[in-house]
Amino acid sequence: MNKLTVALPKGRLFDPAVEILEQAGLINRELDDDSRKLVLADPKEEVDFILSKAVDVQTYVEHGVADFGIAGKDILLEAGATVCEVVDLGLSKCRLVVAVPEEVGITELGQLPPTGRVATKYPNVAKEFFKKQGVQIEIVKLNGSIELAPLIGLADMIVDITSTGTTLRENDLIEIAEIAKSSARLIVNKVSYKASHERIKGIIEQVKEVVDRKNLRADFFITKGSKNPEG
Amino acid sequence: MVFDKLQRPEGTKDYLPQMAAKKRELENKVNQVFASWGYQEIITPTFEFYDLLSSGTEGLQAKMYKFFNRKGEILALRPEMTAPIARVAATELRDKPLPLRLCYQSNVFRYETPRAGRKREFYQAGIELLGIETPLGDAEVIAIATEALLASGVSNFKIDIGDVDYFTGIMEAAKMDYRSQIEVRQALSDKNFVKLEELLSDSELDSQQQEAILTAQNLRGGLEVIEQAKQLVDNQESLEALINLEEVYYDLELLGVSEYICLDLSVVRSFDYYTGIVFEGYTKDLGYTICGGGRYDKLVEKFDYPIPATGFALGIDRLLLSLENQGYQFEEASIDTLLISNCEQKGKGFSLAKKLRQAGESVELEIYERKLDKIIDYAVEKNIKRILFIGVEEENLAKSSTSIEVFGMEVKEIKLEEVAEDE
Repeated sequence: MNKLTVALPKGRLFDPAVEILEQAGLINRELDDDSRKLVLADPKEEVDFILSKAVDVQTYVEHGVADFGIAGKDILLEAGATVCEVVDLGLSKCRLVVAVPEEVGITELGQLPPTGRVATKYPNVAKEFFKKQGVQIEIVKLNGSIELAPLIGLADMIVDITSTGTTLRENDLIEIAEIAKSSARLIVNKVSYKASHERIKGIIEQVKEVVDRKNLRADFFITKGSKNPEG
Repeated sequence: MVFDKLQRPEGTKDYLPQMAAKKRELENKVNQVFASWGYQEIITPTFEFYDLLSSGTEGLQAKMYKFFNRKGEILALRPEMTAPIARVAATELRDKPLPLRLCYQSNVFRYETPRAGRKREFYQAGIELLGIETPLGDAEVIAIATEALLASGVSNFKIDIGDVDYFTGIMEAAKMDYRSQIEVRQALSDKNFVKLEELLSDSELDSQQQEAILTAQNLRGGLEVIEQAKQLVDNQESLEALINLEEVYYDLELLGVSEYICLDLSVVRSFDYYTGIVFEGYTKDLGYTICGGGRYDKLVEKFDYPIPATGFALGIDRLLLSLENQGYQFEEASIDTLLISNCEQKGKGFSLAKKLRQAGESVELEIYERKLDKIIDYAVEKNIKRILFIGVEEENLAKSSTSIEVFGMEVKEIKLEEVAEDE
């Protein structure tokens, strides 16, 4: 059997991702993203795990140094990675949106000024989106606290992810357009997908099963209890 | 003058002597295979009119290096070889009998973000078979691709074959609009299953048609794939595509290469000029494909010469990388002789070197006047097999060399092969 290498994202996505892979039978050992060691082996299952920064997972997978990985769709879109995107894990759900300060009074794209300045962590996604809309923009790349930019006059609007909209609201920003929906995806290197097809197909199916089961349970709770599924 | 740009432009590469020798060796092997099938080399200009080059593939337009000539016409560096060869076929070779069998080894240029296996200038070797529309034409091209990979010495490779018309047939039957078809094709080519499922469930396709696409993109193997796929569709175009694929596979069996072939309907390649059979080759030791090609029956037509065509290109740089990853032993680059003569005997030395070269040896002349140990260091570093001395009287030399006669001339020789092998 060929050894497989799996790239796992450290941080927020780590625990839920590991949980899914555990249930799918791919992980049979303790994994901890605080670990100083960045390569961990599971000799029994012939799997190596690489612990990587979340934004780098698709780089490992694209180069083929990792066969599998878990990465957010927002990151995949920004990187333009050529990898097989095989399962939507339904984790870290969020949306990429365009937001402007409420006080400006703009509610849709058509009302934007002719050359707006956009602050974002996702310059490629933003450029691509506005190009398709035929709107001319200028990008200011920031690495965090994007909401700050329009408040202090650095930018006219932002492109960022939001899940509940709380951060936007707290900073008096309103969403005027959705660019894409994002969630964590199971990704596979293009050649690995072919070269180790049987094994990888098996893993994909197991992961899918785990995810479907989870979704079913979630639907059940939503319909039964909560009136606010977005919550 | 001080240079502040000592670096290469991004995405380019220097082939140092050792690597250049490997590349040349590889290209020769591949070229031999092409020639043995009757393909003749063609060389086209490095730059052409942008309009011509962009008629080939839509996907590459934004990736071309463009510039103006003094008349203000737009030129571009070729991003691939298929369009230039189609142009030659439709013009200068128009009166020649069909089929045309042409091959090339050339550098191509694409403005890409440099990343895994992608350079901005890279080398391709490939063939084009023009004027044949039968499955045997496809089979010939695929068999040559297989033989070229075998000749290169790469192991553990496979070639996946699909037929773009299978999916087109399903989508046409459902009267899906062209834009959505392109999107589906893109998702298939990217193997983006999440997107694919989204696209299909939002489309006009009925559940059986969706199933036919989703199931088929997961089928891989031998002829059983075709049997299974036939059960999934009922439209004429898809069925014809499967029968065509089946026939190509039979031909490949007869050509003796089917053990390297895998049928995979999900191979759709991203270039939009492909019209039928498409294929790509890969090895486990490299994370991306090493060759690809297929049928492009509508391309030459754009140059007013409606003939069918098929072909493939192989990435020389990627092939080199796979061979290195697999620990392949290339022939070691070496020089046969380093020749040293003292001042008085210079003429004799030169004529001996000439004779040796005519006899097929590579001979370097020692130009510096160095100490013996320095000369030996240099020769070992450069993998020179032996050193010949003419009329050199040095104490150390007498000890370490043997006297021999070469072309009737008395010389002293130090063999270095043994020394080098010990290291």
